Amino acid sequence: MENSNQTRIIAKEGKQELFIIREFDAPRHSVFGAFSTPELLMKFFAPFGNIMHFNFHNYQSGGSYSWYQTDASGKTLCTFNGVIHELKAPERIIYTSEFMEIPERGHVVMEAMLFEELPNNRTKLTIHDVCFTIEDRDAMIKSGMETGLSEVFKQLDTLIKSGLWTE
Amino acid sequence: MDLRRDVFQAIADPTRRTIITLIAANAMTPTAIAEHFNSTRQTISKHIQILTECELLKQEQKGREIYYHFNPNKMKEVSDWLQPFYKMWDDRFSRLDNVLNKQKIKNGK
Repeated sequence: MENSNQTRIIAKEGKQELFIIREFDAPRHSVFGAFSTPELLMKFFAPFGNIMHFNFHNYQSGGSYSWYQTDASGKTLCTFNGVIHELKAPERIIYTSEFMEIPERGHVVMEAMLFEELPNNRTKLTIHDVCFTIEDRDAMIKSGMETGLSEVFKQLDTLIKSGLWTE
Repeated sequence: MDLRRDVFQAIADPTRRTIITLIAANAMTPTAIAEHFNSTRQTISKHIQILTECELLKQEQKGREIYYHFNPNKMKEVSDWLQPFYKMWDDRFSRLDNVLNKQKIKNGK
């Protein structure tokens, strides 16, 4: 049962958009609730043992939010601000998101979260992100590296550097 | 479907991943590569061609033979590129699974 819930990311080269798709063994209203309730977001949204904090939040159509992530030592890793365009329970959330640690303002991402009912009380979540430029989208993907998981890939780097994979 | 020739397409296929592993150890001729598989020479040639177009393999002419080398920089691109982003979301969703499971247990009571 767990295996069918594999995360899929579709990020075609040269596009301003990307898709993140995942299924959950929970009813649609629960999954929708998790992404629209700050107290629940704080329980899962910050990856790799980081902690999510809200500066403010108003999860409703026309509302806004600001949250930041810290690592275990309390160091701030990233801040995201945005407005909520539409919050339509339990099917759709459309909002903007801006990574505030980059020096230039305006690199805003529009995100749409679509929650679909599946048989057996399951739910399919499709996140559709659209950026202003291809460079913004690529930068967003690369920023995954800065949110604390570089450790995971050090092993691969070590393997590459070990000389096994050199000419 | 547009014909993408990028690293993701290259590593999507298990045969191509095996070819990469073989060549990573040492440069090989197409004949030597094909000997590792039950598939036809043409099939393996096609995989080699795709890997070359994706710049994961580099050709080198040595006398009459063509040798294929592995391009580690291109492979590094894969790890630097989508994997961290994927891991971030995958980890996030695993945590959400736990939150949802706990809710179910609570509601079941």
